[in-house]
Amino acid sequence: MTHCNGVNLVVAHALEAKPLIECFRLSRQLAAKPYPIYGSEEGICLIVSGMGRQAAMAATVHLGEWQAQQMGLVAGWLNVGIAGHQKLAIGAGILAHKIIERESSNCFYPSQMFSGFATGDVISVDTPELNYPENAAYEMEASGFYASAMGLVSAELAQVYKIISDNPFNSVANIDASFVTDCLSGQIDQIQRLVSGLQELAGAYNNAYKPPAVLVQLESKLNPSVTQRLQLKRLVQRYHALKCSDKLNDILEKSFNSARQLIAELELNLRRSKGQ
Amino acid sequence: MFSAIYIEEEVANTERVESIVQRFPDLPQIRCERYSEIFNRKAQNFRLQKRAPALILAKKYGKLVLPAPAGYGFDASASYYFSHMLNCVYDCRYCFLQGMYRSANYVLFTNYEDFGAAIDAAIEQSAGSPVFYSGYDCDSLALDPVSNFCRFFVPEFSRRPQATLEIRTKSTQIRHLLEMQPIPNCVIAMSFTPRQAGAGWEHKVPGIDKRIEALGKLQMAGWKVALRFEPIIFGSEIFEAGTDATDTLAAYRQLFIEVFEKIDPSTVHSVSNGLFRMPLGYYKNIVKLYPDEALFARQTETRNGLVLLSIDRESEQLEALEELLFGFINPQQYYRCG
Repeated sequence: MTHCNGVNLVVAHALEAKPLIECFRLSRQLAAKPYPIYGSEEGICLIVSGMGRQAAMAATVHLGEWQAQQMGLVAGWLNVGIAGHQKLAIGAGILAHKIIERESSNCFYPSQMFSGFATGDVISVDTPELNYPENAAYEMEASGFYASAMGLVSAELAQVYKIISDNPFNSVANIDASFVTDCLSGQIDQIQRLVSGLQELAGAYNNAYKPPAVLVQLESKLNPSVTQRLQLKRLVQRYHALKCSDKLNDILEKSFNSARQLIAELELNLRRSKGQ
Repeated sequence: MFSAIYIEEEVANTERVESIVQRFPDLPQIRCERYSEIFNRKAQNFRLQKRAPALILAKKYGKLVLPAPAGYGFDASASYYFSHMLNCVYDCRYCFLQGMYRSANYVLFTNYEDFGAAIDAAIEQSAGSPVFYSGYDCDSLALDPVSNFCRFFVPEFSRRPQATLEIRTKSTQIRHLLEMQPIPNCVIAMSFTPRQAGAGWEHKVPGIDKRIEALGKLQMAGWKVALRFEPIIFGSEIFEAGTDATDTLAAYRQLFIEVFEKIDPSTVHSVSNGLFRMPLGYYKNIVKLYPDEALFARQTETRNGLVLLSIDRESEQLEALEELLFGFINPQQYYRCG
């Protein structure tokens, strides 16, 4: 699943996962434990976190760590799930523009990177909210998910999408298994749009910042120190940026006894370059 | 134009904010306590955020007027700058703002009256005729249709004839200025780089022809106009014919011809140029942000905490450029920005 434009979906419940697994053709990753993790060749990954913000937080960290071992590239993150709302109709979807954690009063503001979505406040509560006191979506995972995702990626790459399952006119007591699946299925086009947007953003990020491929070879050959690794990385980036990749390849074909020697040669050649 | 509007609770019900928000009824309007909850937080990427910047409406506290950096301006008198806005709607690759802020969102401070009071206080403390620069942390005109910056601040300076306001810009948003009576102590300073530099580095900036046309209209209307040929970047691969400074000079010769064909040099308030330079900390941030940008892959040197591109025969090249410029203007109109 090495992919430069991956997206990770975090859902609380297997019922919420079901339509997403079908839509994105995900298959169970047997090596992943203890959480159920599903993945696809296209770089979409899904984890079922369990209910509540602590569970969402832990699952997000777990998936991030598991993926870091696997590929080392940055992915987009999307928390999808059902929520109650004071005003919105059943089945409506909203992209969170503000997440309020009721317990701590902490607020998060996901970057608004995608147009064409209804947006709104999301309030993360520890016990189901049955009175819907504010014009907001009430749910239990968003703040935990978002706080964890912020530790893994840049804010633009983490989003929260909620689908309204209950409101003052349709009690939470009416929610059953097929209803949850229907709620998610009804918003699948919007979720696909969000996933595509996040894939594009993650791709742009990884293309800009992924380490040059040649660096891995150099590191295994010359065993540089941490400082030397950073120097080598920047020098290789500079050769590429200045469109001197051929010159870089010529230098790398020579043999060097140490990283220090190679760094000196790379620097010297850059200084000699026309216009430098 | 914006992906969303964040509104500080404290300014939410002010007339200025309400009139701005009314212009964008379809955008998400998100309330916050302080703009710093959104702007410049950790784990933000300027480059990604620049794809969909939001507008943040806020109140500025603390020092609203600050001394201008040494060598910034045209006058030896006391020089100040004030920023009613943070960040720029344009995306110039050489701009220090990318390294200064983690966030690409625009913060518009709407307590203009407090800026007016701070300008008064600075005038009182200054001997002579102080100069106030706007357009240091933003482009003041680029968002003028939304911010109404000119409609507030130009009349403010008409009541303070002892002080001068310079509005530095790359924008063609001059409608509000053209609707007003010009005042003698306001200078509209338009920045230019050669066409090739614009195409390579100045994303979303109005074309040179449009900028010249806008400045010409202002000049014709009686406004004082100034020319800022900054930043000068010698020896870039973007100057098609080659990579040496001669080609840069050729590009500037063409630019000067185009500008002075439409702008009457005899009434130009001032003309300046200045080399590309940037505080070291900002430069390091920008290199991390754009590791693939050729401009930041070039050889540099650091002088007094500022990063400059290493240029062979720099002084000689700069003098040659100045000589070229003096073919169009009186040297007394000129200053070199340090």
